[in-house]
Amino acid sequence: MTPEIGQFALTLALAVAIVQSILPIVGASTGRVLWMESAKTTAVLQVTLVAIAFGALMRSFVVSDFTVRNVVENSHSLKPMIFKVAGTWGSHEGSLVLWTFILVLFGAGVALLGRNIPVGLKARTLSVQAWISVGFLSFMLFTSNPFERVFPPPLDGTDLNPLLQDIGLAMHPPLLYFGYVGFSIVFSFAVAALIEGRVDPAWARWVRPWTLTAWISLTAGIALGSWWAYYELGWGGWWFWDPVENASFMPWLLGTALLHSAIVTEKRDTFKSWTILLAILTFSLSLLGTFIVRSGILTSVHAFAVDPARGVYILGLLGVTIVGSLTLYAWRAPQLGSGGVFRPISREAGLLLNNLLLATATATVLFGTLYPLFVEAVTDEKISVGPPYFNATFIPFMLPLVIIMGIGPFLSWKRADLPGIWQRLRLVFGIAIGVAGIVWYLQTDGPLLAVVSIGIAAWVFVATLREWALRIKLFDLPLSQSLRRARNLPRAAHGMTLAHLGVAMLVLGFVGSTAWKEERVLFAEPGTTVEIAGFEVIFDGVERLRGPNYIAQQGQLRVLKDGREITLLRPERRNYPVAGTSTTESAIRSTLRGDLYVTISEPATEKASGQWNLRILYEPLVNWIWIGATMLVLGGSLSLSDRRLRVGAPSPKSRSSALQPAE
Amino acid sequence: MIWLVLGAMASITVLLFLSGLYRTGEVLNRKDGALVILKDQLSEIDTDQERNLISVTEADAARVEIKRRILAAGRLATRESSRASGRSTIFASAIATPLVAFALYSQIGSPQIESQPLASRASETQEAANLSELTQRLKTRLEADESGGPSDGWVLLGQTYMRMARYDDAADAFERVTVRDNADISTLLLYAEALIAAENGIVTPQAESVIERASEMDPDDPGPIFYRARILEQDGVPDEARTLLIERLKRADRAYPWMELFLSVANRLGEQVGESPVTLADFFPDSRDARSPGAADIEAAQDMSVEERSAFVRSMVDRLAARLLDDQDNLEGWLRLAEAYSVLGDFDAAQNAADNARTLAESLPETDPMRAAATARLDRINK
Repeated sequence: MTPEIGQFALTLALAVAIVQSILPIVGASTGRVLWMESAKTTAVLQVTLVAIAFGALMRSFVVSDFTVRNVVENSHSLKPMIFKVAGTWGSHEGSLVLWTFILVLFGAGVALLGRNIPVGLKARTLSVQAWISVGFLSFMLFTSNPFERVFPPPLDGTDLNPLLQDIGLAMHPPLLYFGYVGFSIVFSFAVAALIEGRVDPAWARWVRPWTLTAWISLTAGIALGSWWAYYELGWGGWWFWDPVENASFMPWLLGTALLHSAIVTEKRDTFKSWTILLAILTFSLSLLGTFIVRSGILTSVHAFAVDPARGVYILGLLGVTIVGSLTLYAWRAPQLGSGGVFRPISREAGLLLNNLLLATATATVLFGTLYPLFVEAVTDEKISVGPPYFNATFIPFMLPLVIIMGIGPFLSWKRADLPGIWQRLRLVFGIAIGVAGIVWYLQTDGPLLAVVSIGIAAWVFVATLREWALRIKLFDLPLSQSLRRARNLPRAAHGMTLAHLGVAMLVLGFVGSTAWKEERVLFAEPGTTVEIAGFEVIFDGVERLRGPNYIAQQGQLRVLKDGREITLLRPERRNYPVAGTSTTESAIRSTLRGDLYVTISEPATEKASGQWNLRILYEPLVNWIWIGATMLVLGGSLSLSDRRLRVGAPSPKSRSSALQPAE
Repeated sequence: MIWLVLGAMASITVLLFLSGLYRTGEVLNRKDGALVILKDQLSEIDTDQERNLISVTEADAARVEIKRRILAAGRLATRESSRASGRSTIFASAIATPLVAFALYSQIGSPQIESQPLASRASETQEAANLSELTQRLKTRLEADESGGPSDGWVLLGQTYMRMARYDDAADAFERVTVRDNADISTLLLYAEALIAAENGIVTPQAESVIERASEMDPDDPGPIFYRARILEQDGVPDEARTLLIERLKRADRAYPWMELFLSVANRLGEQVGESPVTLADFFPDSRDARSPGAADIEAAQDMSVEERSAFVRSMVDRLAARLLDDQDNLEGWLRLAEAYSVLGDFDAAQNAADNARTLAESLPETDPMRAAATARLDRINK
């Protein structure tokens, strides 16, 4: 019965979403409060119903109910429990349920938490949100039903993909979706504002917490995915410019631009149509990402054409959303009006430049991601656009961005005093040059760009600290007073400082682990010794082990530094007989200076028997990437907790006090 | 029971919808909402100034700007809104929602299928485990046989593996027989089928050579012809594949059970190349009795109403019973008949068929996996 409850909950949710997509928005333009307020009921109903469906699907996975096709195809009775649970969102159908759940969760969030949002704007926003849920619920029910049944049920499921049996991956999609889909509510706010014809600082303030929430979780999701790739895939890289990765990275880039642009709208009542456009484009890229990942177009453009029902449906959704919202934008945006004026040297101008650089960088990633698909569709030729393209096009936009990031917070609104800023940043510039010089002295073999990049990272780091120090007048006042000032600083300000410092850490990690990476690939037999990055690694041989559902070949490597043994590394090659696949479990000695990373595999050729294929990597500073990403997330969360984002609704003037209920 | 739960879900939805009609309280309009934010920004400047975070001139400039915005917001026209109108629409949507949901559910839901958590299927899993153990024992014994093991034994092993969906193992078992001189056409076909199943339905060159060998033994046997059509289809010439099947159907002297399968495949291919569908009657105008349940029947059954479907099932079962009178040693047939009767609730007939099956099963050797499987199925029927 459980699967049928889930199935019915989904159909009911679709019916409710249809009502929500019409009544509130019509109510807002005809002044019918009952209709506008119905959005609250329907938004809560939708989230409850989709949660029931998600729960029903999860239960089917947990108890291995093989009357549900989705469970048959994506689970197996021998899977450890946690991966049965994760199987709920591992499949195409299940991930759509999760997608929709997060969509309606954000809707319900606005309905319940947005007490300070005017009823008309809220009603319109929730109606737009419901348009999206109608699209996805119908997509799910008509082309990818998660509760399709099989009878009689097979004895066991068919999927035991061991690569997916990793806790990082199990948690990755929910977080990524949370960010991806979270931008839907920002999109809905933007479309509602266009329909209403009004964007002002108040609007920007109402939307900010939602943008921040989506941005934080997308940041965390991307970082977690990259961390998973690094530890689990065994390739020793943390970013591959893979289309699936790009699909989540593009909304992040534009979302970051949106976050900054919305601040200008909030503070200065300007950049209005730009903010709206970014909101629309960010979510459009989220949808495009969903399409790229979910339509199967990546495997082959032609495979997608052969079984088109799903792909065409989602392509249609994508088209309607993007074309529809952009048309509305073209029609209404000119009426939004421009706000405060500003000089070419000002905080506004700095943020504008930030927006332009981020948008251009997004465009280059988008081009690199879609180009192979076009080529394959037109010429039948499969090409791949890889890291060389992305590094050559993306980095030139990022370095200036990071340089400006150091100056930006010093600029004042409207007009800024450049000589004054130079005065305050001279020392910082000197330090950055000094750091670059020291790095160059220590590491002459790295590329020049790497040395420059480290200098830039130092520049942002010190400049951000300097700005914070100036705000609290550190060293100008007694320490106790400075600390009091620091306490009084709005949390959003601390959030910015922390996030910008995080970016400096990220650059450090990116550059270190790319430019000064050392790699040895070799055939080894017991006794082989390898020198890498000042370490001496001795291969002692291989042992066979039995795991719960796999057999492993575990290599043993002693790591010596200056003749002293410092650690023992045990990389594994795991063989899963039921699934007939193998995975690589790398062994890593992790320190802040860098990671020593070892993977092992049997040599492919017959004649090299008794020898093992070892891959040893030294990745300097790689852990700073995760530290930097954590700081971004913490900075965003700190900003989100700012009191100013929780401005209460006014206590209503009691006009007709006779009818007032005793609430 | 299920309808009770779904009905409850629908009712709660309706009630929640209607509860909106009784909501009271002031609503926040756009103007007041904006003013709250702007006033908050104003007081923020005061605090910032108190704490010396911004200079007096900066604060003053910001204040002027915000005050200007407050004035602008004050001029915002607000639309009169009331709770008075639109009650009937809320009421109508409350009623329409569950109706839409039930209409959609009746199309895509399967309320008749119970959920079956694996834990509740212990007997089935146990049976599968037993079967797999017995199969292993049979294989060990066949391998230990110095003369290579009897061909029948290997074929039985292969068929058991096929039923367990272990296609690679099945192909290995059949191969043992096909390399012998006495390999017959049916074993070759079983081998080909196992090879194809192991590759998810793709005819590999290896399978193709097996099919060719079978075809050389008897060019007119429907088995190899069926697979040759499959190869042609895979090569992208569905029209030739269809012709091959149709020609063979034309050569038949009377109706056979394999024809249903030929027809359904030929019609599927015909759809691709734009030929109109053919039926058995096109070849044998008066051959309705020879029908046996095939893919086409099952397809047809999906469009039927409940009564039609049970009548249809009944007629299929009766045909199976009639066939078994001529084919008394068909263990699988008797088992299926017993299961079918017990599902239909005809317990006397079920018992009768089960007795026949039990007699046949007990005549099999102790170690035969078929015997254990049959006994297990019979036990389930008797429950």
